[in-house]
Amino acid sequence: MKVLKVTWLYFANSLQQNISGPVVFSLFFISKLVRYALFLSFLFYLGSGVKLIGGYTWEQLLFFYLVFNLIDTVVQMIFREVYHFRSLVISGGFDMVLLKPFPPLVRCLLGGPDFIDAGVLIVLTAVIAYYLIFFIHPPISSLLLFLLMLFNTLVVATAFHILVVAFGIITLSVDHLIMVYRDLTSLVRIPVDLFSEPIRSLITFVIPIGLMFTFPAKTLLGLLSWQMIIFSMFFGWVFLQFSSDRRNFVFSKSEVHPDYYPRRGSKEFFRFRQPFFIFIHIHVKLFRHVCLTNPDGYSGFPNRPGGIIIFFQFQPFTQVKFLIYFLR
Amino acid sequence: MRKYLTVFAVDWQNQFIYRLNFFLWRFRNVLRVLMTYFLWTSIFAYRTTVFGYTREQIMAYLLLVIFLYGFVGSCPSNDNVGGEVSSGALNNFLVKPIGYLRYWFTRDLSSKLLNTVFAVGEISLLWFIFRPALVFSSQPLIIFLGILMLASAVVIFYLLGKLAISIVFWAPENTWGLMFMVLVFTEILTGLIFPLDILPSHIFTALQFTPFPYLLYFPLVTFIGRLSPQLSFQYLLQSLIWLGILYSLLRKVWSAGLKNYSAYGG
Repeated sequence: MKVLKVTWLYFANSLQQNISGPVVFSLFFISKLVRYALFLSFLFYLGSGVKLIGGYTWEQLLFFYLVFNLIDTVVQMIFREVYHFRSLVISGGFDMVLLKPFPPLVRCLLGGPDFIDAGVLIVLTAVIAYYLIFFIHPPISSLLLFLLMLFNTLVVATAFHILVVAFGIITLSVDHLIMVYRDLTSLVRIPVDLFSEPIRSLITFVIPIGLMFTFPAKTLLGLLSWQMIIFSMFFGWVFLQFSSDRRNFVFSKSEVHPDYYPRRGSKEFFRFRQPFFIFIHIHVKLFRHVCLTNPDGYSGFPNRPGGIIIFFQFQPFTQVKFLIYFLR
Repeated sequence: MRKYLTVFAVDWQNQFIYRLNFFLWRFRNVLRVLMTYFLWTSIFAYRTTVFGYTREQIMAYLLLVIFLYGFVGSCPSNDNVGGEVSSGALNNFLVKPIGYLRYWFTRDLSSKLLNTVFAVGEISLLWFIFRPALVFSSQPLIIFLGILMLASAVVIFYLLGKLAISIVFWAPENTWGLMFMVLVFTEILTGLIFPLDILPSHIFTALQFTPFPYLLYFPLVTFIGRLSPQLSFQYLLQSLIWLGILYSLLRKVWSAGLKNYSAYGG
């Protein structure tokens, strides 16, 4: 309850700060709208000359771009504080965060939402609603699944930002790690299916930006199989567990806050990680099922380089499990 | 001149301190082009020409974009000048016998040189992975005009950035607002994602009255041989006119800004 109250205060303070500079607010707001409008015009114009791009109509392509922006804006708005994390660490201000009786991770993730993006979000939501009503006409079931996939995207995005924070502590030599994430996500302004293998699998399962940005739109258009929807849900949860594990490792290694993060190797630490092992187990089973049944044309993914990369993401214990499953 | 050479040498060495950082910056540049590459590959999957471009011309265009954007777009001054003015660190430079804008331009050039070296490696790597057929102009005159346009583009981007950042003299809390707008226009209107001549002719003509197509698009289409020598020369002149306009504007705005500037302590 205390965490919620303090987070609410962070949100209120940020809002006050944002609206106290109307010129800056307007400049960023207009620039962001101009950016979306320009790229939309490009896609629209492209669609007028080329009717079908990678099997998608230009209307579908526009919808993918709109959903990409919706998700990107929500994530940027909520996790804006991560952009300031490095300067907080190198200036020594992070010590003050750690000293306070408040979870530092919540402070680093949610401590400064950006309400300029909230303005953009209102415009985007209106455009998407218009698009849905007049062009797509989705059934209620698809709409509900879409919302569920959006929630899953938020889970994966949270995991991504926790990883960025963790790396920000491990190495101080990286200036804009969060910008690398931003550039990675900008790859999927177009549907992930336009990429050829193994890049397509790599940016869906290893760096799951395809899963985050393309899958919700595909769900709404009825283009995603139920196996992939279930797989995405579990992937989201496992990815969150994975990044929390990295975070715990980093925090326990740096011995910054033993009250919140038990020391690696201690009894509490293993108790803390138990859910992680359970979910990895389920994830491996599902992943194997998806690879074998190949529901959405992810051809032979385990045999490709991406499979090796995902293999090394996991702990040695899980890697052995992986090997046993695939060699059976 | 010697002091700027020293700045160049020191900055060159400085860039090797944060190697991982530099590597990630280059990685980001490649990522920016990958999306465009796959979009165009999908478009060319069932046709040989689109908007008057062949697949080979588009691929040459995209590979050159990596190179040119690394050269024109790497501008560390855009990230630092605003902060130095608003924090008062500018004081250190005002009392030294060195031109502040020239100092940062020299540092930008050092960054551009390093980026160019790495861009050549990245282009070679991408070429080996995707093996696209490429088309480039073989006329020495056209290549010479392209190099002049590129030099002009570097200066235009520098002037444009500093002009946008100059707002910090009057609004110290606003170091990034106008620069963000310039970057948004740079992303779409310079030809970074698509060749600008695929747009309707009236929009393309209107764009020539802005400085953006002179940053990437015109040097690029000159190099891939889509322009005649006469047209290349005409666009070079237009580019130089923009350079002159921005230079005189920046001089006026910067000197007005310095008159307004005040900082204490430090």
